[in-house]
Amino acid sequence: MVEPSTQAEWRRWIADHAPKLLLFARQKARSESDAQDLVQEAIVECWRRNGVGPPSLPLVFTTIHRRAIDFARREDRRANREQVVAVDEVQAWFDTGVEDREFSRVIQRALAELPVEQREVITLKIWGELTFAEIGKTLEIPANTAASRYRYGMSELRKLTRQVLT
Amino acid sequence: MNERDHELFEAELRRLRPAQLSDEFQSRLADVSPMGTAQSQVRRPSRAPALDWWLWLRWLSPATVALLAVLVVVFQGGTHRNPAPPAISSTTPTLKADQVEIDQQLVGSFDTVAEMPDGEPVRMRVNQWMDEVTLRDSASGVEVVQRTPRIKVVPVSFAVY
Repeated sequence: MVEPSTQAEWRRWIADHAPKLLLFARQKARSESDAQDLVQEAIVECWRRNGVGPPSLPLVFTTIHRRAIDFARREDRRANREQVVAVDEVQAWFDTGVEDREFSRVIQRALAELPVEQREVITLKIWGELTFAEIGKTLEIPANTAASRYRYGMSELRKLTRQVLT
Repeated sequence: MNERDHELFEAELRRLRPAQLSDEFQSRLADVSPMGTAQSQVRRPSRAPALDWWLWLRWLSPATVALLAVLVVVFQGGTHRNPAPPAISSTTPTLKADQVEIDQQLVGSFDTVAEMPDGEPVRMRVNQWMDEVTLRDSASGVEVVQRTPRIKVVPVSFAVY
């Protein structure tokens, strides 16, 4: 059984960080349930590896990134065998008040249209609050590449949303 | 998009907060214990301990046989060559290790998929470690290094096919 303090620490860590992790996992996974599995596996793996105390956030993002690649390979094999496409109902990626609801819908739709390479960098930078150096490590790319993907992605996102929001 | 636009747009995006977890997922994560996470696999019940034993036994049995064979050969060779080994003189210098280093190196890591007896696939991560112990006697300048390979198998998840 887990010590109460550890359990409390654990719950607090989850409440603080799991929404960011899930948002990132959604950019990498093909369905909501896969995204949830990715987050769970990554947290468990990192916590185990870390031993005592909560794992570092960039490490969990990195693990999600790696496990997502494994997941995608496995899913490809499964899809080839079964030829079945599961369609999840679309989940809201953001929590918003009434006034921001339309804005968040537009952003979610526009984000989904971006290439995954730009989408994941934007997610890590804006909502994961990582630096470009940390994003580079997480995605195993140079920090400069992360920065340029971010710039291209942001201007593309702006273009996609401008018509709707102005 | 100029720098000012960029910053404003960034600030607008930051205003959005990532959606809170669903109750079901939240309680699923909360149940994941940092110390006993094997139970946390939600999709399938875990059978990791049984699998661990089985894997260790697979390695242990041939290793024990090999060790016994080596002992027999060494013992027989020793008795034939040196029927009466001379007693160690009290003046013979003994090793006194004053520096000890313990090192572990991860020499390989790969994922593999095995099947449980009931045909259920399970994915495992295999880590190949090399444990190294170095004893140094700086007075006599003798260094003894012992390397032991070790394999650690961790079930990662039950694959769903």
